[in-house]
Amino acid sequence: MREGVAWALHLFAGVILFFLLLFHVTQMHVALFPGWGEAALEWTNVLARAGARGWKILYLLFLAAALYHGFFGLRNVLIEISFLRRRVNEVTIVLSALGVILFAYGFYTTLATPSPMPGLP
Amino acid sequence: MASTKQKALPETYTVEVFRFAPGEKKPRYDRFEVPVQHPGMTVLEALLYIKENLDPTLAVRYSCRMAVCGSCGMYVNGKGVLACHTRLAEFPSGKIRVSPMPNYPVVKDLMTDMSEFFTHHREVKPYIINPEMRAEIERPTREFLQTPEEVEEYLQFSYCIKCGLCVSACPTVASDPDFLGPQALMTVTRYNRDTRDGGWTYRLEVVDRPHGVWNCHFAGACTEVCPKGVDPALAIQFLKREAVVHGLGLDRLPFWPKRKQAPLAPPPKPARRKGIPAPPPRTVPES
Ligand code: SF4
Ligand code: FES
Repeated sequence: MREGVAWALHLFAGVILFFLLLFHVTQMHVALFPGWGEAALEWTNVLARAGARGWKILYLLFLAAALYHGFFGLRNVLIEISFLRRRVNEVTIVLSALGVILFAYGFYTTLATPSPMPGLP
Repeated sequence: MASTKQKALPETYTVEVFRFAPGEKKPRYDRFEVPVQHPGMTVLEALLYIKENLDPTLAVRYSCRMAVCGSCGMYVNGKGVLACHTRLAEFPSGKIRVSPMPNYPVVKDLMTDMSEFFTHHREVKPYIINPEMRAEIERPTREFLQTPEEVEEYLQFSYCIKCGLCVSACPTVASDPDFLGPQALMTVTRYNRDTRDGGWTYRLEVVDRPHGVWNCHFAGACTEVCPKGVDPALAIQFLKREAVVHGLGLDRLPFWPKRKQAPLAPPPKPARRKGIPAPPPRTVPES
């Protein structure tokens, strides 16, 4: 992939992360304010969300964007300021492999949650 | 009424100069007392006074003495300047400390090794490349026509005198010596925006890589230090846009604005005005 395209994707992933984080935070944490959406944090509801198809897609997107954004950023830092400056290909391959493994793990965890959750009303 | 009286300059300046010679273990600062010879005396004149009268071994690079050749870039009291274009009067305390440009190896005293800088500069082919007009470019017969707006697109970037101060101020060059640097990247924009040029794809290949244009973090130190008012930071942002647009293939979409190519001026009219005699025949054969 061209460096410029990878860089543009990095920015794009950052923008996606911003919106998904906003969504995640407002759904999971702002609900902590008394009297405002506490039901969302009830265990059964959390489980129900984890099993819902839409949420799974959203969290997989979140995972992909976070991994790409994070690892591409880390790669750039490593090849700019470390002794790995002249090892661009090696750094890229190792971090990409790590990213793919982590994504596969996250993918498995997300899909392993039965959808819809059994035993829930 | 506002006073028009100027603050009197100190009669002498204490000039601390960075000293280092190959083979020496540690650099040091030597201190010289320099008499102010006229109100407009520059830092370069002070250094030349030291060289002529106090220490002939001082190494300092200069040539034009008028902010044109780009040879005398150095740091005075921690600020990147052209020594020939900086007056002592700018430092009313009467004390200055002169150092070589950072981010370059020091050859001797205030002279830095600019070879890497010019390697990067050469790498981006800093000249008009136009394969379709090659014959015309190599043996020009007419001029290329550009509108004032087209010239404006690259004009400020063509004011660069290759002094290297932008590279010395760049925090990315400080952490990544392989980074192409603001001057070379700015030069790409200077030529890629020129409608006489056709070499932009080649230059994009050179900069669209690790240690290339993407390593610029837009600190803006290059623009702040440039003594010629060039804005390399802006040029680099233009370049990023150009590389992304080209990389994603947006410039191949039918509605994307196409690059303009400067047309050649029409051939000059052969007819002579009435009453003007024809020139005498050549006395030497055409080479
Ligand atoms: S852009 Fe400015 S600071 Fe950089 S080399 Fe050119 S003239 Fe010097
Ligand atoms: S001596 Fe030429 S720019 Fe200063």
